[in-house]
Amino acid sequence: MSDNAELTTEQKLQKVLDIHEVQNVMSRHAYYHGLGKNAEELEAIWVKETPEPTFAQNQGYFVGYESINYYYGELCRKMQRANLDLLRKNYPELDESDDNLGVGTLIMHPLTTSIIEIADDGKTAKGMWYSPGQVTEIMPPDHKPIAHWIWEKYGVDFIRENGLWKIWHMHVYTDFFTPVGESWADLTADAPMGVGGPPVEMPRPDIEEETYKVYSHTQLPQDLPRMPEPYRTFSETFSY
Amino acid sequence: MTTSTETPTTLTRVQRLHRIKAVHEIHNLIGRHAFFNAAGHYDDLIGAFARHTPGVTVELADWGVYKGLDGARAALVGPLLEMARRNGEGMRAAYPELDVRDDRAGMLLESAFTTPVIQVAEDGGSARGVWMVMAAQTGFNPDAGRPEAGWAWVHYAVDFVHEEDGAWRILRLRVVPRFRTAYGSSWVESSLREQAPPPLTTTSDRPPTAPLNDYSVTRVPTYDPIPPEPYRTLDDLPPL
Amino acid sequence: MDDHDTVTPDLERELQRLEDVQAIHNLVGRRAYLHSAGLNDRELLECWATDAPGVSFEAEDWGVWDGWDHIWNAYVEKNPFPAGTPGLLIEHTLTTPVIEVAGDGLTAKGVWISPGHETFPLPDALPAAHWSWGRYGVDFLKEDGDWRIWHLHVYTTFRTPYDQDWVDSSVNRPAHFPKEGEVVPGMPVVDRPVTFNQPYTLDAVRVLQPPPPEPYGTWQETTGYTDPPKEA
Repeated sequence: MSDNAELTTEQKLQKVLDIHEVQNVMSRHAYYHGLGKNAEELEAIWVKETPEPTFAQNQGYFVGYESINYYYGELCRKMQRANLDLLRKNYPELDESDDNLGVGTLIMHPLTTSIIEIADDGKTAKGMWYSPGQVTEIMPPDHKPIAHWIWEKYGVDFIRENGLWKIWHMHVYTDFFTPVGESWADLTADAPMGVGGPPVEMPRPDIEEETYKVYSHTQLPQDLPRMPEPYRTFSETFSY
Repeated sequence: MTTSTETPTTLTRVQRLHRIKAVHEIHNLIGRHAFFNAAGHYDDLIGAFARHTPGVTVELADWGVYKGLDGARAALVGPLLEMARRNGEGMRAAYPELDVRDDRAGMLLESAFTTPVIQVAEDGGSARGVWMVMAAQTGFNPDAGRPEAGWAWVHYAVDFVHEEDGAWRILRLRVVPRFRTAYGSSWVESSLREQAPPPLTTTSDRPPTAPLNDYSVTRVPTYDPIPPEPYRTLDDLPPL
Repeated sequence: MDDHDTVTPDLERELQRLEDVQAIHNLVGRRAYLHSAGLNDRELLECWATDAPGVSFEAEDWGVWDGWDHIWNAYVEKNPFPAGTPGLLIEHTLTTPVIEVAGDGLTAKGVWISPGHETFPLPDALPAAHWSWGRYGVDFLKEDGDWRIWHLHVYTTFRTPYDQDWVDSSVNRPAHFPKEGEVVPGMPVVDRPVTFNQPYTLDAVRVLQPPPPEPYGTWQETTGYTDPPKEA
């Protein structure tokens, strides 16, 4: 349990600065990811040396650099290529060019309602956010863009690497993903998220675990993710 | 893309404190901007702009760049007044029983600022920030014969200066639209329809910085605005 | 060590205020997540002042409950949608903050714009989804060294069923909404009437409410967000 009173002025000053810098890193995630620049995001603001990075969603965890690079990085590019092919069925005037990767797509995951805690030892941090977002993607069966509302929560661990804050564990908890014009309250527990499905084969998580449930009529409000609490060092807290 | 969010280690305690204080005051300044904008407090909107620093510019969408405080008023307040005028005209005609006296009756311009990336210059004299803004808007639609509710998401990119009287103020402001749509309508559909003419009553001082890149089925969203990187001094900032 | 590195009382005071701002961000975030989980009891115990006089909660078009016991009764005991309600999903985000900590460091004020949504069960019907946008005006005080909510005012911008825009629902009020100004049946009456609320209507001219706080020295120089607003 952190005791801020034991910290020096220097440590307190650094903590408040670090909160701002952690928010900046998390916001950068939103800007990179929103443009489908997942690979660039991994390169710029994710850990490179720290063991066991994870990327998790409702259905489980991707663990380690190789797994995350593939699922979050390479697959994004593959999906963009597949989506371009699909969209060209309706818009043949579009060139089959890398310049058109991401065409017709718009992704925005705004970050709000932050809780950010910096460890007393200054080496790690934890943050939680609400994200009231939208995802517009090319979807089967018509191969046209469909706009969706997507509301999620983030629970993220950060760590300093070579003096810079980096994303270490990112966990995305999706409440609903529903086409604009349709209500998430019409969803049942086993309804697939969104319309249609991804255009490429998705790997299964390395650790399959239902970490969170999308909205349904029978779903109880979920007290997840755990809120960050003040802490001294990472071994004393939980991991997202 | 590089990203270094580390505060320069050469900064003294006082300088680092100034940096954190700057971030807080910038959050407050932007927050007040949103509240003033929604409430039609036009003088307060313009009052947040730099008074002692040359180079004030405002650019909304592809309406061009407006210079100076007069330009800021023309760019920001002018369209608001024109929107209000059109709204009032429509409301009085459609709802004579309401006895509308204020042109803004039934209007809504609620803008929620999220996802900040803020960099304070190393010399502490300026800062740049970007935000994702989700807005709920309502204004009279003459085609519908009633006020039309809708959503508009944009990005804000803002340069700030720390003026000689100790206040942080806006130097340059740019709004980059992402989509605009009527309630319940997908912006994919809206993008295929003809858009209403902008509420402009003046001509800009310079052409737009970039072509409009709001949502389109056949366009790739651009990385604009670019979240700011650490920088030394105001003159080092790339164009907004 | 030069002057710019010396730890002075002024530097420590400034640093404390900035720490306070961050603590307030975390506090209102915590409050939002607990509320969303239906854990209103934990929210009151962990986020609200428990000993200070004058604790108040103003909810939209319902009015004000004054005092810890009355708030507990309304917000916890008679909460129409407690934790464990199937199909309940309520999320009120916090954006666009303006926060001022008093010069004496004992109180603070903050406002937020809150895009949100609410899905709640209906009698004899499936849960209904709504977009629910509002604003918060909150006063805080320090209790035993921790920041706590002192007065919380929720302002309605609009609440509308998913398949009805807020212009339409302002004219054709959904049948499942309580009558305007009335609490949900079973909830206790309020202690004071509404001090200010301005949901969307055709004739509403948006005003600066809640007013973003200005810097202030001590609480005596300002008013609370559950006090009647000053005339413009």
